[in-house]
Amino acid sequence: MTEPRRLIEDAGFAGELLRSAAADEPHAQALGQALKVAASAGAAGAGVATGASIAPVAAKKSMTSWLLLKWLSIGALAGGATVATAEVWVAAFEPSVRHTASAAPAVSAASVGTTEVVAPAVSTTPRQTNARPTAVPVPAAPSKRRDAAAVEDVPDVVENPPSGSGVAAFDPLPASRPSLAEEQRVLERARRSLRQGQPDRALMNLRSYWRMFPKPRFAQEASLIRLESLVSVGRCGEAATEAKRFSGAHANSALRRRAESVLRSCGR
Amino acid sequence: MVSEHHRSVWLFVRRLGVHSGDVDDVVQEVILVAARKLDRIEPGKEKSFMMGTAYRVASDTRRRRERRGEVSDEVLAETVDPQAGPEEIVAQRHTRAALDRVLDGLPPAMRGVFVLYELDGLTKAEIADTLSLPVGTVASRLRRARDLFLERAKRAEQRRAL
Repeated sequence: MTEPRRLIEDAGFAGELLRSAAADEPHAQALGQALKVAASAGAAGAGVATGASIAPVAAKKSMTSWLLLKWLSIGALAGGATVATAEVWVAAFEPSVRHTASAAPAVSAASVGTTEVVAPAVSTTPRQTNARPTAVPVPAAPSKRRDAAAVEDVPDVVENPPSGSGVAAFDPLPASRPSLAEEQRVLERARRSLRQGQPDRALMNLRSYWRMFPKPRFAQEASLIRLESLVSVGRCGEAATEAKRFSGAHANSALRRRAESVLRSCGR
Repeated sequence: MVSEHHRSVWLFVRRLGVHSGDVDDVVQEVILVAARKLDRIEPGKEKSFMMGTAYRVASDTRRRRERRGEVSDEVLAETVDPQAGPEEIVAQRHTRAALDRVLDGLPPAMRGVFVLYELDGLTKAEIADTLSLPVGTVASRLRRARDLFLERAKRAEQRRAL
């Protein structure tokens, strides 16, 4: 089916109107608010986690919510909510890094909409005329390179979880913590490098990311970009090890299935 | 998924004509729906899921406002080209507001298809997947939306010239 020429390309007033939308941007607080809501959604279903175990909320939904919380790698929520300490594994692709994040299970999920919305999960490969591309492509056949066993892209930082019980004091964000927007920008650089067919550069960007943000909010997304970059440069052995670790830690995560799909490009 | 697709979802909701005071709420509701259904979202289809959900939640929200008799607000563009001079900024804002007025004249079903095609660059097949519509329906709505948009844009241009 042929696609009609887009009106945004029109030289006349109609095109001018549509092009005026190119400058649209969400307001500065929008993403931060959205991430807080997502973290609440995860925490509300996760229950209290202590030590290395997850509280006995065995329902798949709880696990999924918990995985969402980990996936967002959100630290303590503002607002004085009571928190419980949960051990957040980001070790899938940062084997030497283990973060402890505070969850806020007491945050009410009352804001959940009452309208049950169902949207089918379908495949799209959108092309956007005025927005950043968002899809990270599955890499093409990897180049022939010797697999490296070393994980030199990952910082050798080990952050031990606090000792004691699983319930910890509220851990407010330090005043010097980099902004969300800044962190997103740095991660976007890595994503863009990968999209532009520069996986080596993406790995370099990720090294900067982990160096600049030792407690990253988007650790799992960064890990996935790293996996795709490793596959792209043919470091399949390394990619396989880390994908296996990721799968073990996040058995039901949607990102896990994506990770496995990426790994298949290496023929594994 | 949230950080990667938030911008697209937010802009889509905004361009569907959701009242400025409701946009954040709608986006947050989309996130909550995605959180509930996370394990059912297929890999690589996250954006499609969120956009489709955004469309439905935005439609519900607009309908609720209309039932309450509240007119849509005219919000000038939140951002403009940072390198523009003051006169250019004013002009950009007015053009952006004019776009909102023209889009407000499209029936909601057509507006969604139109925005996804013209502003988000999706193909008709992709829009059909996102909105769970037959491709033929998308094609038909897009055709009518484009005709109506051009007609309204022409009138807006004539008013501007006066």
